[in-house]
Amino acid sequence: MTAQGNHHNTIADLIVGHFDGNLSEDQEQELAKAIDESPESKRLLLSYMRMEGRLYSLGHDGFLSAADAQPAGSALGTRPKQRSRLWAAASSIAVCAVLVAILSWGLWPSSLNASSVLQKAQEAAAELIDRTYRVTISGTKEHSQSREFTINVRGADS
Amino acid sequence: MSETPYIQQYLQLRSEFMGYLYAITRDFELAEEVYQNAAVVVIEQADKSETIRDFRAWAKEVVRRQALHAIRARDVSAKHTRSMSPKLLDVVSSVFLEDNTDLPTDREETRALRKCLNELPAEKRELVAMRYEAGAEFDEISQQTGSTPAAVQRALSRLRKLLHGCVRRRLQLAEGN
Repeated sequence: MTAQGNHHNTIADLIVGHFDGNLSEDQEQELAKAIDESPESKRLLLSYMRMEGRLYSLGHDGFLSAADAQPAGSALGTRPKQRSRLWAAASSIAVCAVLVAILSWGLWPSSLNASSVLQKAQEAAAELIDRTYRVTISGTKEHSQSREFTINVRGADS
Repeated sequence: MSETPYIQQYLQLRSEFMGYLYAITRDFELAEEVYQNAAVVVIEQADKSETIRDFRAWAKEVVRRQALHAIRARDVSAKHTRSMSPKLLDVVSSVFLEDNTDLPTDREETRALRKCLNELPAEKRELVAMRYEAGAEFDEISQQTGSTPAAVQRALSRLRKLLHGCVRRRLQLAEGN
């Protein structure tokens, strides 16, 4: 590995160590000096910082639990509880909206009258529907013969 | 000047702000608290008649000030044994304030990260989820995974570097194409 690559790794280690709160005072000074003096170190800090924020945001929105997952809770967290309250509120609103829609639809004056509905029902009942049933009867013994029947049932007008 | 409402613009910048906030607080809960406090300032600003020429720069300054205030309050309450060095705090803040990554680049980086996450083996992905989705501490994760807090911390550090490298490679490939 090149000297530049080594330096890059050292700074990356310091940055990650900083996020974990593991750095000594001397290491913090070293990191501060590197960021202050080197544009490359500055870029590295920025990209780690932005990645940290993204991970947090993806987690906050519930996208970390499974591969490209739908939002999901976890066994551990405090934040999923907050999210579940939000989900509960959103679900309640959705349920209320559906109920209002159903009630509005149910109470809306209909252009149909009872006799027309009854007539449609009678027409439906009289519709020709043929059904074919295949029934196979077989014995329990090994060499017993099995028999197959075909039963045709004609529709209501037959 | 953008026509998008301030709070919507603020929400779009969430990742950027949270990255900075975590970098200087190293505490998910405190970072989230500061982010929400700054959101209140943004909402209040929307009610005022004065317009903001550069919302992103303005919001960054709000976030930075709120963060410094929160860190001072935390240090006074002595929850953490040692506070971050002022020099490091300054340079991290200036990197944040100077960052002018545009929205398309930001989206491309997010896409690359998601692809890299999808390539992780299930148990590693779960580790990332426990940390960033559930906001679990290392010791909580270690109880779940039957490991030690130090091992969890090392594993997550390796994963960060792995993901970072993967995102860089993907972006370089995309640039090449």
